[in-house]
Amino acid sequence: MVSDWMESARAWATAEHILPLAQAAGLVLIGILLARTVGRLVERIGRNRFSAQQTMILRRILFYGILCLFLLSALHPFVDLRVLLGAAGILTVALGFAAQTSVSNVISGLFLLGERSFVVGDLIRAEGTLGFVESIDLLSVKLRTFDNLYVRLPNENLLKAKIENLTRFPIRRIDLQVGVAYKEETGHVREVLSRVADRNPLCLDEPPPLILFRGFGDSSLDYQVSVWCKTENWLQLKTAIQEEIKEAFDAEGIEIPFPHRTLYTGAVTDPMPVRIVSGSDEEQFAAETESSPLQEE
Amino acid sequence: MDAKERIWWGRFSVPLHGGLGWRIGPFELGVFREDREYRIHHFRGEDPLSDVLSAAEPREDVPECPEEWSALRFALGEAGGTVLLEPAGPDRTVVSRPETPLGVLPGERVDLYVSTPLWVRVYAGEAALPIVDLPSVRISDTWFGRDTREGMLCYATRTAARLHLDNLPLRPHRAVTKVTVENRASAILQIERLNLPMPSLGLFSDAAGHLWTASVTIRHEERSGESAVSLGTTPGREAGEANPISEPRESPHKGLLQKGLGALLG
Repeated sequence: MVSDWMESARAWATAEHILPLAQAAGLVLIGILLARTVGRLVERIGRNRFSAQQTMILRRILFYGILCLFLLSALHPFVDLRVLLGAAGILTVALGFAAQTSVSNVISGLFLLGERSFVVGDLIRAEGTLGFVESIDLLSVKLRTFDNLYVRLPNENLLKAKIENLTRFPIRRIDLQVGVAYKEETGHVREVLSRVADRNPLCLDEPPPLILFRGFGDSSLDYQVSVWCKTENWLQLKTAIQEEIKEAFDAEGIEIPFPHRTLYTGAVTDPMPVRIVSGSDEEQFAAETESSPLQEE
Repeated sequence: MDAKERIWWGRFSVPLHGGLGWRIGPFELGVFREDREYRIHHFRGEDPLSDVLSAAEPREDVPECPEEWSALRFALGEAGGTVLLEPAGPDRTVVSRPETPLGVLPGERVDLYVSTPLWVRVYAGEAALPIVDLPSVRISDTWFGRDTREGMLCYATRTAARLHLDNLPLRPHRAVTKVTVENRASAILQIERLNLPMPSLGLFSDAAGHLWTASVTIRHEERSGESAVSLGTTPGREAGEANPISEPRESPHKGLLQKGLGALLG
C-alpha cells in the first residue's frame, strides 16, 4: 500500500511538476521578503516625514499589496484566477455570515481610520479606559494605560462609544473648585487667586486665567479657577497650582472651610442646655450616663 | 561699570579641581572641572529684574551643589579645560504685552524698544556642542493664535514698549530689540501685544557691552489689513558698531514669516 503510494508520488514528481511548484514557492518567499523590506523602508523614510499613524497605514497597505500580488502570481500556473475570483465572491458572502463580528470590526476600523478622531500616540479615554493609542488595527485599537497595561478595545465598540481625545489640541484647561469661608473678603480672595495663576510660569498668560464666583455653598463661598496650559504640562500644573493656592491662602490667612453643621435642640429660641462637669463630678456623671435609659436602648 | 566688566560671555579656562562662577542678573551659574568631567550648578533667583553681574569668578574647589540649586554632570574623554559661554535668544517667539496699549497714528513710523530675557549656553568638548542651554529667567508660557486650536506656544513678557532708549533699563541678562512700526493704513493701529520672533534674531554687543538683537520692522498695510514683517541683520544705528555674538537659533523661512509673523501685532 505504502509502496504504491510512494511509486505514484515518484511518477508525479517529474521535472514538469516540480519546477512550477518550486517557482511558486520561490515567488511566495520573494514576496514575503520584498514586502518586509519595503515595510521597513517605509518605516525608516516615514519616521521624519509622516505621523506614526500614516506610516503604519502605508506600511500595511504596501505589505499586504505586495504579498497579494506575489501570491496571485504564484497561484497562476495551477489555478484559473477568474475561477478563484468568482469563488472568492461566494466565499466572502459565506464568511460574512459566519464572521459577522469580525467583519463589523473591520468595517468599523476603516471608519475609525477615516474619521481620524485619534491617531497613534494620542492619549484617549474610551469605555472607561485612559491610555495612549499604541496601534489601530483591523479588528481592534490597542491602548497602553498609565499603569502599563495593554488594553484591547474592539473597533465595533469604539465606533459607538464616546471617545475623549486628551491630546488633540496643543493647549488644555484645568478647572479647579475652591471654597473659602464666608467671612473672607471676596476681592481679596480673587486677588490672591489671580496672583497664584500669574506667578506660575506653566500657566498660560493667554487665554487669561478665569476666576468665577460660582455661588454660596453649604459651608463656603465657591470659586472656580480655570487656567490654561500646554497639554504636556497638564498634570504638572494641576498638582502645582493646587499646592500654591493652599500655600497662598495660608500665607494670607484665608480659611478653606470644612463642612459645618448647626445643631438646635428643637426650640428655635432656647439655647442648647450645657452641663459643665469638672473634677470629682466626672465619675458621678459617667455613672449617671451609663445607667440612663437612653444608653440601655 | 565699564564695557569690559559687562562682558560675561566668551571663552574661559576652567581650572582642574576648581571652577568659575557667574551671576548674570537673577541667574547664577557655576562651571566646575574634575578629571574627565564637568559639573554645572545653576540657580534662578526670585527677582527677574535683578541687574547683578559678576563674571568668571574663580573657585579653588568643587563644592557640593546647594539644596535649592540644580546640578548637571557631563563626562568627556579628555575634558579640555576650556568652555565657551554665550548668550542666546529664547527658543520660542516672545509675546510682549505693553503695560498700556499703544496706538500708532496713520502714516506714522515709530521706533519701540523692547527688552527680552536671554538664555545662557555653555559649550565644551572637542565638538564644541552646547552642554547647557538654560533660560536666565523662567518666562511664563502663553498662546498666540486665533483660537485654542490653531496658534503657537510662545513666551509672555510685559513691556513698557518705550519710545526712547534712554528710558529703558539695560540689564545683563536681557537684550534690547528695536521694533520699527510703520502704519500705512488710514486707521489708528493699536498695539496690544507684539510677537517677537526671537529664535530668528541674532545677538550683538554694542561698544558699552550691552546686548542687542537684530532689529524688526513691521509694516501695517491698508489693503490686506495684515502686517508685513522684515527681520534686520543688525541691531540698528542706536547700537553703534555692534559685534555679532551668537547666531539665531533658526533661520526664518517664508512660511513662518507669512503665517506666524503676519499676525505679529495682536
